[in-house]
Amino acid sequence: MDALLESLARTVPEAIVCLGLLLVVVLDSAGGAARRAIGPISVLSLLLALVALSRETGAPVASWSGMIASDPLSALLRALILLGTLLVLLSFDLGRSRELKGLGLGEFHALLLAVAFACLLLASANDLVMVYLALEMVSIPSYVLVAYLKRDPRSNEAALKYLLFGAASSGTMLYGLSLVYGIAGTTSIAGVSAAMAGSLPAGSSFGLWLAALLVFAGFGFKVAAVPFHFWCPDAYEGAPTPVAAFLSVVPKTAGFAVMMRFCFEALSLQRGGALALVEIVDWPQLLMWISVATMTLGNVAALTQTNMKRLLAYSSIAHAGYVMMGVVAMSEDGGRGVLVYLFTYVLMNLGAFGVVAAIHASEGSFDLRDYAGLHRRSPLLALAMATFLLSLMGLPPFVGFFGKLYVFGAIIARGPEFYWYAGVGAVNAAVAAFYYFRVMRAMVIDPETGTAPALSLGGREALALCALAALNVLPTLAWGRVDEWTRAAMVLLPR
Amino acid sequence: MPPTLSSADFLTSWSAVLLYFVAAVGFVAGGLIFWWVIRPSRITAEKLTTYECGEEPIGGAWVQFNVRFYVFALVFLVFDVEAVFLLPWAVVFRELGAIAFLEGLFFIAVLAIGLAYVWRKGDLAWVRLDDRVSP
Repeated sequence: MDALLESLARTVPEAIVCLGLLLVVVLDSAGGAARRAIGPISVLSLLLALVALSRETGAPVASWSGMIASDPLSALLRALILLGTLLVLLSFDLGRSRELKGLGLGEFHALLLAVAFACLLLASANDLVMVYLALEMVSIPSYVLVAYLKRDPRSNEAALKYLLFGAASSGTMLYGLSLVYGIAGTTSIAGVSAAMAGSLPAGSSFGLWLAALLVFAGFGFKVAAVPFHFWCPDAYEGAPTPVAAFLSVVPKTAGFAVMMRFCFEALSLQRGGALALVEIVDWPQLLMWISVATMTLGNVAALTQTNMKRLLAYSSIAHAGYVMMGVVAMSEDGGRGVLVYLFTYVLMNLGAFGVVAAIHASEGSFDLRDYAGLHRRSPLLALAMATFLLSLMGLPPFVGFFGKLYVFGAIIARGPEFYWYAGVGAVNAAVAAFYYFRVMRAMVIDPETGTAPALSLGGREALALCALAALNVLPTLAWGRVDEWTRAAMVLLPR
Repeated sequence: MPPTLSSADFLTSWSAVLLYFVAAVGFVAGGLIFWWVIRPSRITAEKLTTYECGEEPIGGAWVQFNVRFYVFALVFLVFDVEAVFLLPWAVVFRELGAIAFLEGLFFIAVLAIGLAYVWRKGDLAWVRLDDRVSP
């Protein structure tokens, strides 16, 4: 009983989000005026969870019978997940959205909180069974969220594709996890790590290679890495814009969290604060090729997109490739690179989706051609969008620069045999600049067809986008703090 | 670490399963082939129709089912899961004491909220109220 209460004390944020979710369902069922409290209750529960998380103290420990890791790394990743969900709820004016018109928003909030709750669990999963369970808990409400526009055939089609890919990849991953269990004889990640350090049965090498490949299929699906990315553009295009924005940051953060834990803790040996490769499986090699394919295909495919949601979908695939560089680096610096990149990515990608949603609320279009003359029709939106795009490009002084700085730095620190990999990343960043500039050209230079009137922009949207744009610049001024947070989170390595 | 068997030991210990598998496949395949060789084959249209417990089949089997069936299947899951989890809970209830009671109570409350949600949304009726108003 004491163990239970102790465990509960380490997962207070999860408990708060869970209670918030239940309250939203109750309020939605009650109907009438109670439904107006749904939005504020969701925001409040996320805020309270953030506060609870920041007050979490105590030594790193595995709670819930070893299922959940409560350590600084999971704390920072959970903070990112809560922040991302909170920003989605605050920066999208759901009431003004054309897509969500006539659909109840109760289930929307409930499903969003359900995915956030599952992501919190995934970010601190410390056991292969928990990894699988949390991954499924993330996926299932996500499918429903993509299908939220139930009268729109595209939304339904997108959800079906997402579901089929999700089912196939989670089955593949489960098979990989079963191989890991077969080789290590335990499902606990710490136990797998211990088994790797000991002598493995003869012939484990092939099995472990296969296991790593199959497990990466599951992680690759969650973070939309090539070749598990096919669902991504269709799902983002068919889903309501806030859902696309949410899926592009929050489950992706959780996916990288579990990838990092699996790669760094289960598949690596920790020797004196540094990571050493398990000799029989060279997973960074495998992940490096996935990463190269992901960033290249994402960027090249984004070049020809004219639908903004598809463009951002391919851009988010490419960014997943960059984040993977941090995991491939297999060092403390690499891990910090992943954390910094995910933090900045939340800010810049949500901002870009926010502008897309605001333009759709006014114009009813996701087409890049309808962005012509945006600088005249709404200077604020054009300026905000330019900020987010420059940040996505990775230019200083915007925060996106730091993400690239950390992961490229970590890769270069690995030594000359990794220089070509950093080079591929740099070429990709240049290719990406091309299509981000194309959006800017559409907003500023491209001739307008006719004289479209000024955009109508809600006060809440304007405020939220200004705040997000500011968040894309301001952390630069106090970067020491952010640097300190990531340093504190990654000290877990020598155990 | 559990004791690890060498691959030869591993296969030997499961050889009974393999033998059983071979026997099962042989039994079914042998029966089918034997009767296929000796039986006469006179096919009529009547013999090819779907067997529906002696009734005349009406239409094909590829028809659209009412989507309500799926909703009811989902609601059924609520009770199904409840039964599955409450059984082991009841078995160890006495040993765990008050905390188990509270946990069980919370679990049932969550499921009750789910049921209340379904009921309030009108999904327990075969024809939903808002569907009747706007066909």
